[in-house]
Amino acid sequence: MMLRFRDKSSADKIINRLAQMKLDMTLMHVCGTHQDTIIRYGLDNLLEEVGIDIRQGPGCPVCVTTTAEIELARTLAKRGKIVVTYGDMLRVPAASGSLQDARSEGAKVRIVYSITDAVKLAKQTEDEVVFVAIGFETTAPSTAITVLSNPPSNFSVLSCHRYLPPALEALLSMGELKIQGIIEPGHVSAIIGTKPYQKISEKYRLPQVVAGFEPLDVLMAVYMIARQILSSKHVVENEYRRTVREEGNKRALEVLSIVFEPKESRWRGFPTIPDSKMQLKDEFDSFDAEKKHADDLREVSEVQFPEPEGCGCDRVLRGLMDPQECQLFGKACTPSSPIGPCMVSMEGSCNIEFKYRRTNR
Amino acid sequence: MASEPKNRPETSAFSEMCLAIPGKITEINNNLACVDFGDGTKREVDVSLVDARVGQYILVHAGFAIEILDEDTAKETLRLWDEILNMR
Ligand code: SF4
Repeated sequence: MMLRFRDKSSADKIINRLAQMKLDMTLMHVCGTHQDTIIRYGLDNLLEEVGIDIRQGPGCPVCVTTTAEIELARTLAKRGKIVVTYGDMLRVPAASGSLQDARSEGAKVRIVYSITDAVKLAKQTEDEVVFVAIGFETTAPSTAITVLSNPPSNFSVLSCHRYLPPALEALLSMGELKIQGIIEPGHVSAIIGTKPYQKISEKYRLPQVVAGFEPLDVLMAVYMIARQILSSKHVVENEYRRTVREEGNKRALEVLSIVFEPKESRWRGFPTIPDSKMQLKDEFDSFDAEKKHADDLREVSEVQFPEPEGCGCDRVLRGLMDPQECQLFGKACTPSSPIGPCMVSMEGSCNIEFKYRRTNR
Repeated sequence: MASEPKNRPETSAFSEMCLAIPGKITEINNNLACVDFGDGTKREVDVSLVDARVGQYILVHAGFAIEILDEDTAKETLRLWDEILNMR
């Protein structure tokens, strides 16, 4: 059945419909997995032919993590903690090198598939284990439920988790890019549901459609937005009803609200965004790496780090630049020697572009 | 503790984290389910965030099930699309 969500003839029909609508619009999505589907199946080219420009915004958790946050993790690693994170973080260059560089200089940096593996590691050692927790609402519940399940006392979390809706608001309020609709990420929405997007649709008179990750899901979402535009509507619709419920995943939302509270934070490519980062609440101080290891972090916690020179990730993340417009793309910057996080992460626009279309157009 | 094995493949860790492919639950013990992603890929998945049963499809993210895929709704969606796309 799932294969029918890739059916070519249905895709052609949607494209034909869109062509008849004679559109001229720019859409944004905020998800690496959507970007992968779009580039892998060449949907961007198909849509361009029918007047639709589709671009990725700040939808890559590793990419929006700041250099300062990576420097915190590097500092902890250099101070003898075992730093554990997801694979995509390892090679992101920070100001003085990546976590991988720290490891080759002797620091203990480990990669895990799941936070559960990090807890297992902590149980096997006396050393301090710090889990660098990356991700939006999709990943954060696994961190929250772990914190609630009595992890060992040598385990703590460096929370880089972020709430997605505040970034959408920030992007729209900056007004640099005129967009006519947003395709919302299915996985984040599986957790938060469809309601948090409503005030954005009202305030910016913007159609939004929550979409799944098969090519037809994305095309259908585009079609649903186009239909809204032609009938002057601006509401939140759900294309991904097979997974996303209006109210989201209540249990996941509950653990998030027990463990985290919103705090203002910088995002790569953005100024400080209010209420956008998930900070562990005071009662979980003993699992909050920034508080637990404050002494180790004092020297780096207030430092302003420069972004990688010549890297356009900030503009890529705001949807203002395509990877191939970056001077360094495919030349100085490749997945094997990345300059910015957008080339490292599997969810980064530059990495995805390189993977499917490595040559310059 | 044991020193880290060299040359261990690491790049797959995060890519799997965002797998959009649903997996089918074949077994559940407490909060841990055995999940079959097809082509022989099986994984242990924490299902404490969802009310899952054996035989259901779930969406998995970083080792945790984040939602259950509703097969009836999936079929209904496909039927609706056919209707919309074949409308004149
Ligand atoms: S190609 Fe490399 S340098 Fe250019 S924006 Fe992307 S990550 Fe940054």
